[in-house]
Amino acid sequence: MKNLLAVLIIITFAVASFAQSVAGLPTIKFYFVATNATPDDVTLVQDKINSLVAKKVGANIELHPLSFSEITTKIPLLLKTGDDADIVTVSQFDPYISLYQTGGLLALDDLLPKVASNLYKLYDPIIWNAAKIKGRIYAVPSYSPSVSYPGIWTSKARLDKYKFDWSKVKKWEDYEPYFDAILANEPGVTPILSTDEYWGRIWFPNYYGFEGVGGVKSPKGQDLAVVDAVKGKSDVFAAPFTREYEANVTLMRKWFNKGYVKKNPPTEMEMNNLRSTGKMAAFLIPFAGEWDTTGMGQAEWGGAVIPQGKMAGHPTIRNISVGTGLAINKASKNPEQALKFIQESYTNSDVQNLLAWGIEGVHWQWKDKSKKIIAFVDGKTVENTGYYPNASDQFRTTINKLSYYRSEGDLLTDQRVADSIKSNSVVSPIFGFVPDMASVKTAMANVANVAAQYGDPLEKGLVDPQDPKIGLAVFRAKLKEAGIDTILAELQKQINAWKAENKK
Amino acid sequence: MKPRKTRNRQTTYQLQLWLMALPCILLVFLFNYVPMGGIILAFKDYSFSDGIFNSAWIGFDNFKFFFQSGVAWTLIYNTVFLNFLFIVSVTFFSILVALFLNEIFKWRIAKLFQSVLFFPHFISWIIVGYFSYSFLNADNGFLNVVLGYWGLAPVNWYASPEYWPLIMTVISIWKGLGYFSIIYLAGMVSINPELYEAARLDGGTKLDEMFRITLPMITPLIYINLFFALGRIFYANFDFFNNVVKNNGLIMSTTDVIDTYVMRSILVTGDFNMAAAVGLFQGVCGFILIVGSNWLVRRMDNENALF
Repeated sequence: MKNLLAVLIIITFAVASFAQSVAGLPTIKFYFVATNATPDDVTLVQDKINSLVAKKVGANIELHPLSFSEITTKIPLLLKTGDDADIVTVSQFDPYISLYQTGGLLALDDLLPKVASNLYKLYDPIIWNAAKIKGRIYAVPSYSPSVSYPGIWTSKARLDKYKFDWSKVKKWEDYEPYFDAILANEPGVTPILSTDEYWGRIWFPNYYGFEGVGGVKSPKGQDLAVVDAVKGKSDVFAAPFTREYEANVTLMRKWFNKGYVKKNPPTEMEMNNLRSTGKMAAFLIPFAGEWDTTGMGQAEWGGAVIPQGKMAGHPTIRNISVGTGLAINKASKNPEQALKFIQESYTNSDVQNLLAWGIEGVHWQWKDKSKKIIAFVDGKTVENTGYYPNASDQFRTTINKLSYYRSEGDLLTDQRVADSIKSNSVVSPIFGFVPDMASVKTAMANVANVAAQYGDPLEKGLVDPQDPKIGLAVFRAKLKEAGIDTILAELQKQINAWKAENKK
Repeated sequence: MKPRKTRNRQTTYQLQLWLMALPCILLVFLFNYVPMGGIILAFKDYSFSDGIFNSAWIGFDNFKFFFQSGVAWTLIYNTVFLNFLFIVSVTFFSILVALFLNEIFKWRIAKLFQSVLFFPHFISWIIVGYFSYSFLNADNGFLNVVLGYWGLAPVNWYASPEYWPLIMTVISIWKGLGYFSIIYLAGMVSINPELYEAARLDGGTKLDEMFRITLPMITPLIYINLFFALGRIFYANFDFFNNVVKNNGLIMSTTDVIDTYVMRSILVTGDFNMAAAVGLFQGVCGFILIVGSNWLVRRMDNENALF
């Protein structure tokens, strides 16, 4: 009797696993970032995609959404350990260069013309060249222009209450009347959001027209090695040694003493509470204008409308050769099928829209069919929808103008980005340069630790820059000790070689 | 015929014992001996595509990152010093508590104390991190409110490195007390009651019983626990440091330990060889310490040596 039961169970399992996938095809695992994705809904989307393209691709796709907080650590780990993953998302959370440094990305230049010729023909060689590291392509870039400039997110209701016009703001100091008003009129509300990890700093290199190079930074910090991109220079220098940095951390210290931020940066969870209960007023961000804040306002700010306060300063930098895109794991057993799937995602609007939005009637509905504008189905929001990646850039490229669907917020964001590129932007002098940091690995680790110990507290105003024991002077001395100069020299050498090679 | 029969019975008996121990032996072999193969990663430039055996040998390069960081000695000092504080204080207090618990005659009350003390052991370090944050933060932390009641000036704990060895010691006592006191209590319960009776007949006091019978009888147990702790003195409890100290730069001068430093480095370089190298260093130091202290104990007090 027992044996019979065991046999029955085995048969049930065998049949069940057989029924799920298209017979005989291998499976491709796709790790991407998603704000919301419940297992049941992911299976729905996955089955729908497989029913469309599994035969064409020659494999069944298996979707593995990761949350925004998981993605920074999990994807490098998958690649580093040669784990069972096929396609991974490249994004500002896992920069192309960092993923390349894991040694886990597959070079695609041989496969591309052979296996995915349609995909290869999408871009002209200039774009493919910008995706090359040491002469080889390791990711399929999602070519969507991006610009970045610091600014704030704060609720419209509050701005109106204090009649503060952020559109006139040119520098950080101009926000002071707004924060002062909050301090004076709303006891218990902290003007600026901060966390123990990242938030609550105004030091963003791009505020001064600097562009980070090489990813030299503390684990959760800002780039330390930079070039002055807005001035069109390609000399690498360490930001903490500049006058700008000193002025910035001094200002932040002043703000700290005024009480604009909490004395101890709260934990991520505590911060979320403060935000949803309106106990904090503003988020200082390095990428104002680039994001659709509608969903965030609904889900995380207790229903607030969040205008994008961007400072009117110098031109924004158009940078990062590969900002977002898809890459294939070197350990993938089916790289050809994986590349074919990427091709489908970039060239087949059905697949793309399924990945980005889920299924019609289940996850989204038409708002304006003629303009391809969609919205959540009735009764669903960012919070309770079963499938909402909220990062559709990873599945598509804007270059072939496929009929992909968008939310109203998306359209506005695109408009903003297009406007600022048109009106006020410069192309970085090192656009397309991708450094190889392997030879200065040790110095990188030590510099990162020094930055975590001395830099992060300075940048959050927790420390007086003049403090003789832990102030700016000590930070600078420790950076020297840790070998920042070796890193700068290596970067400069590589940039010079790259310039000579590309005749710039 | 008779002696042979005994031998047979002996063999069966031993076989049974071996069988009972087999799962543990397998476990130790699988999880403690097999992974030792990973030591070679400390001397290699590992990339998974080349495999462990085909990756290039680079000698001691992986160790350089740690020892040339300029902070290696601070890190080693912090790790060993803090662990030493934890070991000594937790051992001291748990023996004390066990001695007291052992003297409580009402079984229910003893059980109650035991459970209350044991409870923190089950609380995850993540939760402890949140507890300590709500206790210590400078904005609305409980401790500063209490200090205010007493008319004392508030302290920004997360910016004052000098207090942290004490804070962390208190937390580890709170969390470790129940666990170790149960181990010691179990040792005390198995002491032959006739010894106490004899002491009472000879006019010994309660204190005599505690310090002349109970304590000496559990000394071997204390040694074993100390040896285990010594072997891991170069390893910081990563969960503890990561969740309670949270890589806070301001208090790193007294709280940054080897494990947290390595973790931060890996987040930037993604290089596991460095971690393997530092892990090997920690292991070797721990090994030397165990063998050394056992040698010392054997010279002083042969009976209590572990091996």
